[in-house]
Amino acid sequence: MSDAEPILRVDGLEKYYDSTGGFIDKLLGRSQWVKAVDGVDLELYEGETLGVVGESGCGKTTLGRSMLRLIEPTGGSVYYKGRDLTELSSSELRNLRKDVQYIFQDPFSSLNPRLTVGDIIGEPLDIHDIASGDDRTERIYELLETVGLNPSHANRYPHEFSGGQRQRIGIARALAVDPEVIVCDEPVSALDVSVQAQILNLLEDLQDEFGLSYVFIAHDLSVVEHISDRIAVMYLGEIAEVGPTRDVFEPPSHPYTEALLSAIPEPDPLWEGEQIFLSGTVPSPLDPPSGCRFHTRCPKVIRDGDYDLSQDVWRSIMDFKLRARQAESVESVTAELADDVSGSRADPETASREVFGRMVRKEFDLPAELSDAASEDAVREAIDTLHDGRIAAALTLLEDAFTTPCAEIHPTGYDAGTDHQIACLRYDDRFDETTETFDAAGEAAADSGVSAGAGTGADDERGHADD
Amino acid sequence: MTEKRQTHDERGRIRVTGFDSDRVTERDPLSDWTDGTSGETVGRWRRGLQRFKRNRSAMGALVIVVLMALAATFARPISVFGVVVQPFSLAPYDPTTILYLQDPSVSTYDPPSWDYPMGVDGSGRDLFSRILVGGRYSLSIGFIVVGLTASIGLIYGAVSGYYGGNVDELMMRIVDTIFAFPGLILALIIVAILGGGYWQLVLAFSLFGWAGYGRLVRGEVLKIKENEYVMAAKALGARDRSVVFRHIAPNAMPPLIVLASLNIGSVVIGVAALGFLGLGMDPSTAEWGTMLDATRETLIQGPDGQIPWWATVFPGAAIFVFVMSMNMIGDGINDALDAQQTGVGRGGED
Ligand code: SF4
Repeated sequence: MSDAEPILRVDGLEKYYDSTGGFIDKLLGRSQWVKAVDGVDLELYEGETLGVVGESGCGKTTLGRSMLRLIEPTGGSVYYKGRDLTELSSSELRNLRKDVQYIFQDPFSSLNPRLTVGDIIGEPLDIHDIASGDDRTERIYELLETVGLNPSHANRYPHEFSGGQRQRIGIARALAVDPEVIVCDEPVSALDVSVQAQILNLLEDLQDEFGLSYVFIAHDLSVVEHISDRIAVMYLGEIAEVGPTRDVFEPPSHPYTEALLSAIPEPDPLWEGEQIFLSGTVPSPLDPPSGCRFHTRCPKVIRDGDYDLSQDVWRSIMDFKLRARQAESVESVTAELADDVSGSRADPETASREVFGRMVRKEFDLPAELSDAASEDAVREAIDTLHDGRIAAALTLLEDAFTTPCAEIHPTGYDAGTDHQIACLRYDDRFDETTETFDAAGEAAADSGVSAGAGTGADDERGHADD
Repeated sequence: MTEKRQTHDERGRIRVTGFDSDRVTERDPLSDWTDGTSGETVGRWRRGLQRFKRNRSAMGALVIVVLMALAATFARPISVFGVVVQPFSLAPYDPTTILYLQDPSVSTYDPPSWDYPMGVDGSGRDLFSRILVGGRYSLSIGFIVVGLTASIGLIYGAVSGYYGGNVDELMMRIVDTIFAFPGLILALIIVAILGGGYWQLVLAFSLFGWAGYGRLVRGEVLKIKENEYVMAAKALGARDRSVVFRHIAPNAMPPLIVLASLNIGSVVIGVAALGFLGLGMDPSTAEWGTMLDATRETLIQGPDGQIPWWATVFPGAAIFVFVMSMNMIGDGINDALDAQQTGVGRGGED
């Protein structure tokens, strides 16, 4: 599949929003950018469905919309059959709308309540002079039938239809121009489960009938798994992993994909698969984490080779470090703990060193004593400093003692098999799988290719800028 | 029951097959198509009209306004360029005729009688005739001003809301400036500069009166712009112009119409107020507010110790009835069009 020319190719697409506070900030040049989509590369081949998944707010919808220039991308290119969409003039772009279409998420707000269904579906026919008069009516009836609606309903208004039926109307409207590519933006997430299946089926049937290619955006992994040939997993405006559905899911390779997959509910009461709970919340795209964007939550964040710690404890230490970075008072790094003596809640400001230590360890699930002596010393010293109320000093201690390549090196898509790319340092050549450590300066870097080295240099810079 | 349950970590050993998409298609091709939703299709405007017709008070008010408009039209003959286009004459006398010059038995401030059903005013003119004809001024100014201001406001607000950004910022600051002054004061200043008269009054109320519509329409447009159907039209390749006219303007209309119908009353009151202050039309004109002004002193005491209430009550009542009716019609339209609920944000349902 990969040797064929893709019908749609997204190359380094970027959509930054200016979130500068106000006029004064703008004057002073203090601009802030929300990086909703940050350098996304994707390829869509003819006749296939490319699923795009990710949590809400990861930029999927922005990606879909800026791909078709429904909102103007701020950087990158989108090639449709070799033509760069971002370079087209507005009249050329209007013409191209006949080939690339969009299905919206909300079947309620995507249909104008004041137009009849016939006029809604007829609008693209009018715009592109595809049909008029009796032809137009004929075509509208035909389209309604294609999507499984009764042609005699052409004179009804959208409010007379259910959600699923409205979504069918939206599909009929997109089909009216006889497109090649349709971007489906969460087309079923607003619908009941039973109706979801109908719409998915309809989309699949239409794909077979008209040879359509879909970009299918969704947050529901089971839906995407059902319909997609290939899948792209998105996290905070970047593609974490992309590959054929099977390769991506069985077994999951990228730690984020693994976490997403484990969150799918399983009806089997005897199933005791491991549910992975991601720590922390999705970071703001305003100030995305340095290095690998997932490192603030990744359960498999790469360990420091100097210490001999289990993965869980390592994650806890990372959480401790991240929290200290944002902490304004010691209260935010301590768990609530009943005071031994009084039985009431202990106040971290006044607690004894011993109680305070327990409070911190409880908050981050750190064992009372770490198995590795060197790291135990470092953690203890940090807690001591915290107990004195010197948060900044504690943070410096933690930052010096515990480092992870994940926070510094930005992973590019590493090839893992045909057509399968994983943006995780664990798939970098410098990662040693037996010891599970990363050798940033290792000789492996030398033969891992120029591109990886160059990318690393640039990303290092970014890592520092963000600190 | 003591044996340990065999757990495993393999997914998919149990499948819930009821949701298999194939079966769902067979079972339930068009899921919730009920009789309730399959009634005869009725357009939104037609539905509004039907609802309006069922609203008794609004219909009553409409009848009153239509009657007043008819009475004003047919009060005296109308001729255009010397050609009589409306020969009827409901009013028994010409509104400017001074009756005691022809009929010495009539004196100023004669009480209502069979011949003069609303009495005679301070200059010896028939009040009934004057009130009928006076409707021409008040009513037409109301409708003309509202028509003008609403159209300007629609365009202004649509441009401001659709383009947004700095254009919007500038346009809305202008509106804010206008809002900083009370409308009546602005009208007063203009009339004071230009002098009284029909078209001067129209100008006085139109020049700044559009600001309210502009702000309303801008807000509506901003709201409508967020609807995905606007983006959907863009995705289909529609031009800006057709997006505005086909999708945005029609959806912004209902609140505008409601505000306009409610505003006719305020304009009429404004005109009457200027008239009462002696700033409206020429003092002898049969305009309701001006008529009130002319007999203002009689509110306190008439010439021979009694108060000629008819000289003020009838013009006042005419203003009151008209404004009241317009407000009831406005409310009726509001209910009929559900102007508050037209946003598709609420699903576009009725
Ligand atoms: S690079 Fe590190 S933080 Fe990112 S996904 Fe891989 S292991 Fe996790």
